[in-house]
Amino acid sequence: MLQYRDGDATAFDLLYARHKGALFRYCLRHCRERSTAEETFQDVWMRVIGARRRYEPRAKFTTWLYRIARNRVIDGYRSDNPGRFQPLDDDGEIGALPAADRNDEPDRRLASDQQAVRLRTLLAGLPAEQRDVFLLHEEAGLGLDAIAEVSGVGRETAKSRLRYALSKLRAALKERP
Amino acid sequence: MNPEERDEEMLREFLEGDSALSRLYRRDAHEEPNAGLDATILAEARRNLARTSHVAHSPFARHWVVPTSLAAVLVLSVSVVLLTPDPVRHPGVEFDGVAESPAPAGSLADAPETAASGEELSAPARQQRADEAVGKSSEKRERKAARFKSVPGGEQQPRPAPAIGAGVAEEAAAPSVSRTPAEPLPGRQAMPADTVQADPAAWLRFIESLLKEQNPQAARSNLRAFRTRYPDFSLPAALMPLAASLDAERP
Repeated sequence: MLQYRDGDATAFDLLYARHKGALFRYCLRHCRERSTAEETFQDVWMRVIGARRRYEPRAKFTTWLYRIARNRVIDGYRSDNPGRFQPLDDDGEIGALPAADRNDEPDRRLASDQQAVRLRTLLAGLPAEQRDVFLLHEEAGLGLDAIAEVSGVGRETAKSRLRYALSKLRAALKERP
Repeated sequence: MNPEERDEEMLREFLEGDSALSRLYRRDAHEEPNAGLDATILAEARRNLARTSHVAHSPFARHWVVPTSLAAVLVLSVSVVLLTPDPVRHPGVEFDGVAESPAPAGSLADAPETAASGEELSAPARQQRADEAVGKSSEKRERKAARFKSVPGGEQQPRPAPAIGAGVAEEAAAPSVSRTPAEPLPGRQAMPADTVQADPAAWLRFIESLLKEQNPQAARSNLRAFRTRYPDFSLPAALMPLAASLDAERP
């Protein structure tokens, strides 16, 4: 990012190639529809590009990137059309199957592992904060400290959220084969 | 293993990346943005670079902008100093009143005389000065002195524009008092500068030169002032007759 800030366009190409998949899936898991995820994903990168000249390496780039993404997702939740994002409520119950999964291509659903699909479905039904910490670890590869920094909470809070998420997913996978 | 320990163990395995849940999630997590979205974002990244000046934000510019600015200021300063005319190295260029110019006899040398013996500027003395103004070399010095002081009429004499080298010739014709302190000056400029008056031997040589240039009145005035200031200083033989005539004038 420093090289891109100093005018190296190819540095941004490398940066984008390194992070685009994980960030896209992070957005996709938080959104009900792919188009919303694409819109969110593009907006995150536009913010990164717009902040180029002001960028200072105060934290790891990944931490900074996912903080932007998380804020953008929260903005989406709070927008006029919250139905485009996964539920924000924290009732602790696994939600219904998201529309994105129902619209998946039949061939792909058939080819994918049934348990994996089920996990994604269960993940979509998690409370947003628990889903978020799960994704920040699985997609961004962040540890507990970085997850806490991105989420703006303490380490123990982040740990507690993650523990709850894992416990619910594990229990749901066992109960609903 | 109680439920809390089981959750803690599950969390540890998950954070280490080798839990069954992680493997299950990654099995089908391969979605990527489409090529159109990639192109849009990469193009915007390049547009953002193009909007800002590449030169101004390049690593080279960031690192060298301050040293380059300092070097430019230094070069400009040296150029200005070198190109500015120096009155010492370019005597043809006139700077009125600069120290390098010869001591203006009409101003500097005249001041002590007027202050010390204002009553001596009687009518005969002024007449004598008028007579002393005759002479080619004297006229030249008069013109030079006029650069520094108004003529008795009260108007500044127009000064002809000096040709290249004229200033040098004029300087040679009228050297400064410090270089030839004993050189006589005509008329009201007959008294030497204070530096000469401070040196009795130099002042006597000055008086002798006045006599040689047939300027007896100026020589008398100077010798009178000299004896007032240095009453015990022995006079050279050449000035003894003049001193005797001064003694004869005393009542």
